[in-house]
Amino acid sequence: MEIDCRGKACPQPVITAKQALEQLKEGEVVLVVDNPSSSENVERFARSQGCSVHVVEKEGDYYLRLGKPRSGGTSAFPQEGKKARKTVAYISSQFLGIGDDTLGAILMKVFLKTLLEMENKPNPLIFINSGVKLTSEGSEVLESLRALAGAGVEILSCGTCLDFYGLKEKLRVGIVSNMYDIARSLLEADTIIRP
Amino acid sequence: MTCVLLFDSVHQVMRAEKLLKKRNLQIDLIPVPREISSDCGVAIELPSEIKEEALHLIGRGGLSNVICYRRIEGGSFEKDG
Repeated sequence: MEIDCRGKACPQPVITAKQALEQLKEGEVVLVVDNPSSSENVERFARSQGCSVHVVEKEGDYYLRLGKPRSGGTSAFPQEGKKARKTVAYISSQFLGIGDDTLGAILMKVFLKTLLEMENKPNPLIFINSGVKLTSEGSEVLESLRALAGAGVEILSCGTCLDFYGLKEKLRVGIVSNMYDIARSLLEADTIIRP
Repeated sequence: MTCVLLFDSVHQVMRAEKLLKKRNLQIDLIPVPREISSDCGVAIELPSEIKEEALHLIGRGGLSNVICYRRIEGGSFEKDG
């Protein structure tokens, strides 16, 4: 089965992939998208569902061959007995807390540095609205965020927000994400921290 | 090597940060290391080579009561001066 998602805006390709995988009992489905971030988003989603992913780029289009694991539905994909608690940090502003912005900027900087020293780090860190200024060029916390990424923490920035603030080409750490991924991360979290 | 400057309040940290950044000194704001304590949770960390210059600027800016620590190898701290 091949599904053409060219010309579809994010997160439509991910939603289509989800529906296709749900309907599929076993075997493979091929999804075609026309841009790298859709390709990455679909790939990430499929892998999170335990699917195999094989991507081929052809004349600017991406053909993603998604293989569904044999054992039943996506939710039944074997999960190890003990699941670690999932804590997500939802960073919806470049400032920490409400009040003075200069203080808020300092607190955010110190907060992210402190996270680095914590044994149980939140994962992923989701940056949304003016939070994306923290992951983009000119941010004073890039070093901390890179160190967190190096420690295995996923750094997700809302693509719509990057676009709004004119930062699409200026993302300097982590990946561009979409509302679908963000909403899913929030829903799957055991704890959400909103600094 | 770096040193960590502690101040009495976050207002003083903010003033000091402004003074030092105006001179393009390479400084960093950090949470006050747990081994050290102060009334304020934010400190300034800078390379030891610019410590004297920084302290001079801070002093001229009217900020007193600055406490300086050296970050020594292994991540611990030693009071400096």
